[in-house]
Amino acid sequence: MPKSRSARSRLKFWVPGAAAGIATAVSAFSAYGQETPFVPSRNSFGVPGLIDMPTAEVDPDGTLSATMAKIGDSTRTTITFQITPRLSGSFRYTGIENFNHPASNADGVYYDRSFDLRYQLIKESDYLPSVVIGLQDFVGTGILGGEYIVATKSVAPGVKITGGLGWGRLGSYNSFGTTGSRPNVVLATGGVPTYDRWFRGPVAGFAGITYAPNSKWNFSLEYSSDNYTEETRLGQMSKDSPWNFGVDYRWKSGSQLSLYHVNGNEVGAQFSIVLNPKTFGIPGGNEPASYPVRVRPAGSANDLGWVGNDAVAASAKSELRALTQKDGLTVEGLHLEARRATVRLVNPTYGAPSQAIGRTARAMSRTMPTSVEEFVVIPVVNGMAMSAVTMRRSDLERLEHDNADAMLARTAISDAYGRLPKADPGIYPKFNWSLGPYLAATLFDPNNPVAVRGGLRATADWEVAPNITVSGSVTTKLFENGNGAIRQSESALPRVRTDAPLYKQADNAIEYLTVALHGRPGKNLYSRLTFGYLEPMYAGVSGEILWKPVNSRLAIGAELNYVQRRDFDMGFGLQDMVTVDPVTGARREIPNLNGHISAYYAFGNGFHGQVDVGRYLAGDYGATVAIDKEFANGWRIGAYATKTNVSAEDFGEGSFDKGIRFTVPFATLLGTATRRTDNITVQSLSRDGGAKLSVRGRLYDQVREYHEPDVARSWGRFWR
Amino acid sequence: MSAILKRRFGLALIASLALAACGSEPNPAVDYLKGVVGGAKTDSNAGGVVTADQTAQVLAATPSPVEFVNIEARNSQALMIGIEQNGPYSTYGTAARQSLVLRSGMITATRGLGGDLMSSEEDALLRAVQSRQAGNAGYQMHFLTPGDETKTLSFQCSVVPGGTQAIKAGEINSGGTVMTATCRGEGGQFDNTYVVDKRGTILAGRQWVGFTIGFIGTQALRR
Repeated sequence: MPKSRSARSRLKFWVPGAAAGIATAVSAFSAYGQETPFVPSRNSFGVPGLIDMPTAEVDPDGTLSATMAKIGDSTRTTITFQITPRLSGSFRYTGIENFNHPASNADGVYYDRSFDLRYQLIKESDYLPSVVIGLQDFVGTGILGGEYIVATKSVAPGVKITGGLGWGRLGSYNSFGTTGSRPNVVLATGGVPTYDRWFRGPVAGFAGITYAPNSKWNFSLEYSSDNYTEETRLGQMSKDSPWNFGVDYRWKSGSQLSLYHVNGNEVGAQFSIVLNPKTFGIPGGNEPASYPVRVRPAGSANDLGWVGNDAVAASAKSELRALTQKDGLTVEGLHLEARRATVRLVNPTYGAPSQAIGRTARAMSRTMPTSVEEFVVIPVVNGMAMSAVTMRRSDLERLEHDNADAMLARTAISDAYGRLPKADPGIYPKFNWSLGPYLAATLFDPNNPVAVRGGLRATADWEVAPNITVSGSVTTKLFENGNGAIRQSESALPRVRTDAPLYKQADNAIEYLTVALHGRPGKNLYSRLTFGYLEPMYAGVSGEILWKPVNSRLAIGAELNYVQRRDFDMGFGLQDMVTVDPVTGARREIPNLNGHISAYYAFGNGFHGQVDVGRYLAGDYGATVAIDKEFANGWRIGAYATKTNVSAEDFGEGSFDKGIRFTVPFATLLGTATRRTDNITVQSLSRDGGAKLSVRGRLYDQVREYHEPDVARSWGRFWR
Repeated sequence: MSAILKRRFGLALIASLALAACGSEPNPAVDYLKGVVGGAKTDSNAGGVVTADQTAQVLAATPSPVEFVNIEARNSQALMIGIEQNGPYSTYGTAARQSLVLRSGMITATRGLGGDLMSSEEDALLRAVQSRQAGNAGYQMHFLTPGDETKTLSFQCSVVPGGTQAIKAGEINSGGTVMTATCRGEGGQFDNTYVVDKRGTILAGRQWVGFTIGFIGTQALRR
């Protein structure tokens, strides 16, 4: 671009209308609207549907929604996630008031958890409707249990018609036939697939029509095949009419507020919020720009005059450190050779590893002596060299303004074992602390479905040396809802988790206080040794080793723990390992040793799997299988299940341990660069079978972040 | 039999937590909320209306190239200063570290604006605009999605010359041909307009820079 820096004296100070000249010069600009993917309305069960009945509409891939619906005595809270473009899953917590059932609480409220799956068999086309097959409450106690095949077709602008066949709950009104026999008892414990019931028993038809005159309003009319049989038999609801009417007000995001008239005698209302990790948030974030690449003057790449001049090397390092610091990155060390610079990098700021690497590389282009052609960035976590990311400086200069893929193709990611420059003196020890409020919730206790505690929490990390960290967290409780009464339930196992309510009574608590040592025992190997107060209920020693080649999608790990039970007051005291059952008085001993062998695999299509096999806290042996859907921006939504050699009967309610979990990166909520995430696990039940030690800092998530599959996945942020 | 909801922070309480929490590390949530409370938005740093005095001050204070930039949808104007050159690509920045990359005056990338244009395949479009004659050109724009995937929008642009336009701004006292590029592609169309001088330099332009940012107007004050 030609530059004219002359004639400043002849300046005409030209003002705001810079665009005015342009505006007169151009004709009309057509608006370019952003398309927002359509999210169908939810029904009272929190899945795409009419009022009580489902439709065959399907959410955009990745859609996450939460729905709370109240119809008469029945309140349903549902989380639904579109797992793949055709498959979705739901978790629901239902409360029915005035319900005469042995499991109802003192106030007569019956609580029940349920899971659904829906699969789209046929996508809607010009002539064919969308067809969905669904299983409702397919592992629960069966009170909401029902199956359906449903078809939905758009017939005119804003008008959709739906028809379907239902079994179970959805085949309970005005059935026209039966397919086999269906056991109709409400199971006591639930938690296992009720496959002996699926698509059996009476079958009934349901139908509906919706009309959406615009994007905000949606009117529904349905013929319901749900007879509310159990609510009528054991509760105070009844069905006077199969015709239900409803109206939805819908926001642009897909969130909705609905009112309806159900069963000819009830008024219902519902609210749904909808969020999609793929489309939620500011694209690319709001954080400041990085420094651009500085291109070396032609011919300067062979200028080796600086080699051997310590002052040049020292000044290059301090300039690099200052520049990266402005980007929220820490260069802990630099090994400078004539043609190569190797950086020891700590990234406290960016969720995407590629962004930290890209910003470091650009800062290097502005600070390293011109003869240095090879840049090696080695991210360090807890003193462990995670990978060596090798780039050519001339590629950075050449590809800065190209699509990021071009740079990825020229970047090598290899094991950094033995290549890490030492941290400069003065960097360690590091001390970080924080003080703030906390909030903890315990869900699904029938006597207090949402038990909330809150107070103040202080945490500190003292990094004595790069690979030795002392960490602690203490809390003081300031409030809790309910009467604080302990609900202690019978268990047929050592009370490794059913005693948790006793710990939650502590007003002042040490949540953890540990010393952790990390290391690289060999190529592809990572290690952790943690000792101290490992978690609220156990102290002890936890050792872990992980094998993870830097370019591999597979990792194998092993963890061995020796634990001792902590005192209920969560202070420094320990107690013996014998637990006493408050109901039966049975004394059982918790074994000291537990541990697992784990396999981790990133499927590469956004799905991640993990299998743990080993001995659990109560001494039971078994395996945990977990599947997560992972988004490049750090969102993760997954489910896990653990089955051990404890019988469903001994396990108690739920039959085996299972749950769903979410990882929410704050960066997507705030639009700024931050590594903070919120990890939420909703366990269906907290029982003693299949329980794991909850030690902090397991290796895999730390290690995988800077390995090739994860770095490549988020590579679009390299130039961000 | 109760189950446990384990979480470090309640999402609904981010606000109160962030405002109350303190520690040795800076808390981005606090900055964000301060911004919200104070009325600042993503474009606050580039925001406001550029006055004649500011223009004079900036031109006097730096010998570097200066570009006037207007993000229309945000009603936000700024003077950006040339900070780096890589071949034909010039990077302009603000003190708040927002940047714009221009190639002969055509925007090829933005940074720090939210919804940034990450890069472009602009060779053909730039050639067509520089030719100051009617023509057709392919054009691609690369963005990040909120999910951090790279998304490419592809367009076919029809470029037509219009009349001439005088450009008197800052140290620029020149003029050029008005070139309009009508680009059609996935999901819609937009019109970019450029004033191109005889050497093929875009002196001023109005260019669509993606769904989030919309149109950006640019005008060189010093080249």
